[in-house]
Amino acid sequence: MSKNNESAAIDIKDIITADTNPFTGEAQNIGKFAAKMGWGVFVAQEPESPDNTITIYDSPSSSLTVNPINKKGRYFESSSPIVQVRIRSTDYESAYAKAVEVQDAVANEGSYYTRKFKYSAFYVNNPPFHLGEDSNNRQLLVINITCHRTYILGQESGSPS
Amino acid sequence: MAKIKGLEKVIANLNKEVLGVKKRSKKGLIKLGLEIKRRSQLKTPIEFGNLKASHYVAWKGSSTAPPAWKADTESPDKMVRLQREHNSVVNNAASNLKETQVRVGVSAFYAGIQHENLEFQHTVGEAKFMEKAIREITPNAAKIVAEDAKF
Repeated sequence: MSKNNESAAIDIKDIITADTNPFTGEAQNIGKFAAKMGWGVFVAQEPESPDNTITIYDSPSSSLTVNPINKKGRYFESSSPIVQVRIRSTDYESAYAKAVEVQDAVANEGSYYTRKFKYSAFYVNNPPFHLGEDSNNRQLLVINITCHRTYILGQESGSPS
Repeated sequence: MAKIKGLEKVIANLNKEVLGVKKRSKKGLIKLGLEIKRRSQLKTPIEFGNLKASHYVAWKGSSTAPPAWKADTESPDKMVRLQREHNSVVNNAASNLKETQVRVGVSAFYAGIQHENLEFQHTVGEAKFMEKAIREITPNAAKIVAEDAKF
């Protein structure tokens, strides 16, 4: 069974909710996980409130391709899952600025480690795309991010190389 | 000194074959485009069927019959816009693409929203229809093109 079948959306959530950007080491304040005020960050389901939300989805287009590479007798399972980050705000300009903030936080040089994966690259596939407004006249923007990751056997969590 | 005869003829024949490969590769690309279109249409959300109908494959000089649009009685302007923009998008592609290019696309002005909105609940079809079709066919894409390009 593939070890690569775990949510990339959750890992992206961890990057953007961190107080310090794991790549640059700079302080960041993009949003708080499940916050009821300010910018709330959610995974898989966009709640009705607060108005300002960042919701991260494992994109259904993301195929969990397993490419075992035999290197020095070890197998590495790598895949390129895609996540969609959806930004909602009452104000278009704030939504757009937040989308740019998210992409800048993720698309950085260096690797990102979780307990199970080494993320070697994040590609932002499109500039913020306007989906229109929801039923409460809140602006919706999305960006799609392709993540390249390899399953590793336990390394220090969250540390860039 | 040995003299090689018939070199010009060999080069001429090779050039002829290379031209043939180019032409046949294009046929393969069109085949690939049509397969992506077919797979994407199978996954397209359907209300009136116009999003599905607005799929196209275009190449330099291509011409296709206009889709059979379904009337949306609540917003007749929408159909006029679909018609106008489809013709414009497809004709533009057919005249501006290079000889070796084939484009697969969806001309409906609301295609991007339907494609990208993961929160929409569809009874038929799903978001990311085109992207999924491309991902499905990618492992076999080179094979499809190469089949026609062989000497």
